[in-house]
Amino acid sequence: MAEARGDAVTALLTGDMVERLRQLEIFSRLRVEGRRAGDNRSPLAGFSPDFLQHRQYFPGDDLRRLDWRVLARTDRLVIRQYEELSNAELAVVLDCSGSMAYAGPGMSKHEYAVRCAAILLYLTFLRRDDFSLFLFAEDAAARVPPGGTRLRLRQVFEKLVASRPSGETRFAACFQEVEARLLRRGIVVVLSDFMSDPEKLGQALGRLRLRGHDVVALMIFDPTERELAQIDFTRFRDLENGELVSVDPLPIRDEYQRQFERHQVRLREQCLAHGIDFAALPVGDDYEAALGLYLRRRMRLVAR
Amino acid sequence: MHFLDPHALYFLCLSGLPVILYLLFRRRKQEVSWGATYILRQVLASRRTRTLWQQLVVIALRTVLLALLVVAFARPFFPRSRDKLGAGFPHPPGTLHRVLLVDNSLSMNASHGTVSRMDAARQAVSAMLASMRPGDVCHVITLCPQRPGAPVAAAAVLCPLRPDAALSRAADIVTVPTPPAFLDALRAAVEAFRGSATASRQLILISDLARCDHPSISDYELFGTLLAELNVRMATLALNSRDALNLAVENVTAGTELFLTGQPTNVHVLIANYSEAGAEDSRLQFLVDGKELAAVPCILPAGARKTFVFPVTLETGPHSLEARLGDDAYLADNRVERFVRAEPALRVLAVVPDEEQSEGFAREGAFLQRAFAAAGQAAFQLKTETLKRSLLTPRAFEDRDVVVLCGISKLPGECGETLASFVRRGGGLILAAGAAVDAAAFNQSFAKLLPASLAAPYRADFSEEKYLAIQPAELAAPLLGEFAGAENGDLSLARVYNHFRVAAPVEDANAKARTQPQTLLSLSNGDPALLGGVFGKGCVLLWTSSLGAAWNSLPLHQSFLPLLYRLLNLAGGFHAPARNVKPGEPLVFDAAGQGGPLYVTTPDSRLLECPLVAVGARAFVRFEQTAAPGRYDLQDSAGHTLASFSVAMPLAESDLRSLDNDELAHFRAALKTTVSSRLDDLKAALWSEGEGDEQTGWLFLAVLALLLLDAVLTRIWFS
Repeated sequence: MAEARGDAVTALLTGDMVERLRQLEIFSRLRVEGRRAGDNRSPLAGFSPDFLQHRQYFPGDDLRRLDWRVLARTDRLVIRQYEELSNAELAVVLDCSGSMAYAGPGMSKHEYAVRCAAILLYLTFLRRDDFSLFLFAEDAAARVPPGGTRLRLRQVFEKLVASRPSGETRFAACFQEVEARLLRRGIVVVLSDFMSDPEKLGQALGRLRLRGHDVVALMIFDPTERELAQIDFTRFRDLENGELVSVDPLPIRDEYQRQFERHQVRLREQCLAHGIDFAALPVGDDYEAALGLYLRRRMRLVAR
Repeated sequence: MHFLDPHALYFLCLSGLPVILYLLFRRRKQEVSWGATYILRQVLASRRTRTLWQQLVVIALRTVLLALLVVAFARPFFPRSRDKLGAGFPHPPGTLHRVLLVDNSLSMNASHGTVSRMDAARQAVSAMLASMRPGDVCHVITLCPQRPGAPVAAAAVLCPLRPDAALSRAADIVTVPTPPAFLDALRAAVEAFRGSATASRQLILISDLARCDHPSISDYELFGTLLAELNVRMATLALNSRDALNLAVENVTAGTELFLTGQPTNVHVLIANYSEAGAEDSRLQFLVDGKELAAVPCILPAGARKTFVFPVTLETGPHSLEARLGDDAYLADNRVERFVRAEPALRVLAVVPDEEQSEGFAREGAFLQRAFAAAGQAAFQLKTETLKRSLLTPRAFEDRDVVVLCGISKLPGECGETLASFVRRGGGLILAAGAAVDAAAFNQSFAKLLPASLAAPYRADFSEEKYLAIQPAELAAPLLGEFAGAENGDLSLARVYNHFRVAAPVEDANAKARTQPQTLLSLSNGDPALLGGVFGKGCVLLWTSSLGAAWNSLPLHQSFLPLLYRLLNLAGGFHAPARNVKPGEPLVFDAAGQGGPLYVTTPDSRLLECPLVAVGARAFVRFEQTAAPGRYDLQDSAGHTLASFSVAMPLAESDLRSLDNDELAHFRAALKTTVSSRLDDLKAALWSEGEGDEQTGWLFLAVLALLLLDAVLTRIWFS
C-alpha cells in the first residue's frame, strides 16, 4: 500500500480490474435523494416514464395528468403520478480501528477493506454519482466530502491509501457523526470487522437506516481469525488497546469458532431486523470476486 | 502399608513432573497480535474457570498416575493377620527362595500314634511345596545320602506346583539306612542361596533332632552366621516326642555262629531303651526256629541297657534265633533274627611239645587230652588228634576246625605258613604259652597270627605262694559269660602262678589282616590271661599261661573242661561263611553241589539272581547288595531255601532321644532358628509382620486405568 501513495488510483485499481468493474453497478435498494437525475428511485414524484401511483384531483392540478379512463369507469377525478429517478450518493464508512490491522497469511483486513472501498467508490464514480468517505477509529478520523469528479476520486483514494488502522472502535459515536453529515438519503456502505456487540451495532446502523439510508454492512474477517489455529499457550495482543490475553487455545478452540459463527449470525440477524443488507467477506487475494459476487446478488435483488 | 522395595519411593518426586512441565509450558508463550480479541474475551468469560479446572484435573490425574507408578515399583503390601493363615502355608510377599532340609534317616520311621515322623514330614513338605508361587525358587535337600559317602545335593523343584504334584514330590522322599550328613546339607543349602535373587529366603529343617545326629552343635555356628549374612530366615520343625518309647534289640548273639550239638549255650539278647521314657510293661520274646522259647517282662529305665541270657540247646543243623519286643514308637529295631548252625563234631588238632619237661599234671598236653576224651560223653564229638611238634606236617591242618598249640614256640618247616593260611581261611587257633615257650621264637614264629606278642614271663621263678586269679568280671565274650557265675565252677578260684605278659604286636604287612585284640579273660593284676583276635576269617586265642598245670591250677579246676569246650567252640566257629553280617558286607555261600542259578530274596521282597563264583574246584555265591538290613534267603531255582542270612540293623537311628533343653537352646542360637514341634506352630513362626498380600498388580491396573482416563479426557477436552 505504501508504494501506491504516488498514484493512489492505480495502486488500488489495475487496468484489467477497471475493465471488469465496468460490468458491475451499485444501486440503492431504497429510494434515495440525489441532487441530479439518475437511475435510482427517488422518494419524490417526478417525470420519469415509470408510473408511480394515482391520487385524488385537487383543483389547480394539471389537467393533462388526469386519468380519463378512470373517470370514464368510475366517475372519479384522479391524476397520474410518475416516479422521479435520482442519482444515489455513496458514503463509504471504513473502520480504521486497530483490529483491522490483523493480517493472516495474506493481506490485512484493513488492506482488504480499502480495496473493497476503492472498488465501490470507483463504481459510483463510473455512474457519475456522488461519493464520500468516512474513516473512523475512536472517532471520525477523516472525512472526504461528497463529490463525483475525478479529482474527488483521487482525493478519496489518497485518503484510503494513507489510512492506517489504530485505536479502539467506537461505532456509536462514529455512526452518529456519519448520520449528522449525510444530508440526503443515499447508500451507506460500512466496511468493518464489527468486533463489538451486535445489538449495539444493529441499533447504531439502524439509526442510519431510519434516516432513510440504504445501509450495507460488509463484515471483513480473516479466516485465520475464525480458526484460532494456535496450539501452544499463547498471549494474544489486542490490536486496538494493546492488552494481552494469555490463553491456552487448544481447549477453547471449538467454543471460539462457535462463538465467532454466532457473532456473525447475530450481526446478520440484527442487520436484517433493521433492514440493513449484510455480507461477510473473508480476506483473501480475490477481493474483487468476493465483492463482485455480492454486488451481482444485490443487482438481482434490486432488479426484482 | 509396607513396601518390599522402599528405595523406589525416592522417585516419588517425579510425580511433580506434570506440574513442572505445565508451569514451564505456560512460560513458553508465544505472542500473537489478534484482531478478534472481542470474541476471545467472550469465550474466556464463559470458559476460563472451566478450562482452568480441566487443566488442573488433568495435571492432578497425571501426578497421581506417576505417583501410583512409583508406588507400584515400591511393591506395597497390606499385612495379613495371623488368624487368616488358614490351611495354606504362609508365604511372604514377593518372590521366595525356600530350601527344605528333610531328615530321611531311619529314625524318622518312628511313630507318634498312627502317624510316623516321616509321614508328618511329607505332609509338611507337601504343604510347603504347594504354597510356592510363580517366580519362587525351591530346593529340597535330604539329609541322608543314598549311599554312605555320596554327596548331599540340592534338588531343585519347579515352582509353582499343583497340590497333587506337591504330594507326589513329597512322597518321593523315603528313609535310607545311611546316617544324616547335616553339615553337608547345610553347606549345600548355603550354596543354593548364594546368587538367589528372590525377595525372601527361608531355610526350613524338618527333622526329629535326634541327639545322636547332632554330636557337635558348635559346628553349626558358622552356618548360622553365613545364613544370617544371606538374609535367610531359618525355622525348624522338630518331629519328636519326649514320650516316645523305643526299646531296641541291639543284638542276639552267643558269641559264635557255631553251636555244639546238644551243648547248652547261652544266647545273650541285648536290649536298650533309646528313649526318654522308662519301659514298664514291655515283653521280650525269644524264639528258636520260630517257636517261642521264653517270654520275659522287659522293664528298663530310660537310657538303660540290659542283657537277657537264654540257654539254648540245639540239634544238628541250621537254626534261627530271634528276639522280639512289643510294638513301640520305632518298630524297625524291635526284632532281630540271627542264623546259627549246630554241628555234632569239632575237628581239633592239638600240637604238643616233643619232649615234656614237666611231669604228671604239669605236662602241657595231659589235661588237654583228658579233656578231649571227656567230650565223648556229650552229644557233640571232638574229633581230636594230638601230634608232637616234630611230627607236624602241613597236611595235618586239612579238615580241621581248630588247632591247639600247647607250649609250642615254633612250628617245623612250612607248617607256619600253612597254619596262617588255615586261620586266614576261617580256621580256629588256640595258642597256649607255657614254661617251655621261648617268647622271642614264639613271637617270631606266630608274628602274623598273634593278637599280641609275648613279653617276659610275669615271674622268673615258680612260687606256690604267689599267684594271681582270673577275673570273671572282665569276661567280654558272650560264649564265656557262663563263667561269670559259679555255675561252671568259680573261675576265680583257679590259681595262676605264672603267665607271659603281652605287648602290642609288631606292625607288619599282616597288620591289616588282624583286628584289635580283645581281652577275654584277665588276671587280678590286670594282665590279660586270654586274648582273642581275628586273622583273616579265622579266630586266634592266646592263652598267656599254660594249658597244663605247670603255671596254673586251671586244669585241675571244675571250670577247665567247660572253658576248654567254649574256647574250642569260639575258635572253631569261623570256618563257614558268616550268616550274620553288617550292612554292606557280602553274603557268601558255599554252593558246592548246586547246579543252576540261585536266587536271593531281599528284605524288601526283591528276588535277585546270584551268579556262581568258581574258586578252584569250589563254587561260591557272593551277594553284595546288602545295604538294607533284614533277612536274606538264598534259594535254588525250585524255591527251596538253601540258607538264610541276617544283615544287622544299624542302631544309630534307634536312638530316638532328642536334644535336651540345653542342647536345643544351643541349636537355636547356633543356627538362629526357631524350633516348632507342630506344623501349625511352624506356620505361626514363619508368619512375620511383613507377611501380607502384595498389591503391585492392582496398582499397575490402576495406572493403566488412569492412563486410559487421561487419554480420553485429553481427547475430549483438549483436542
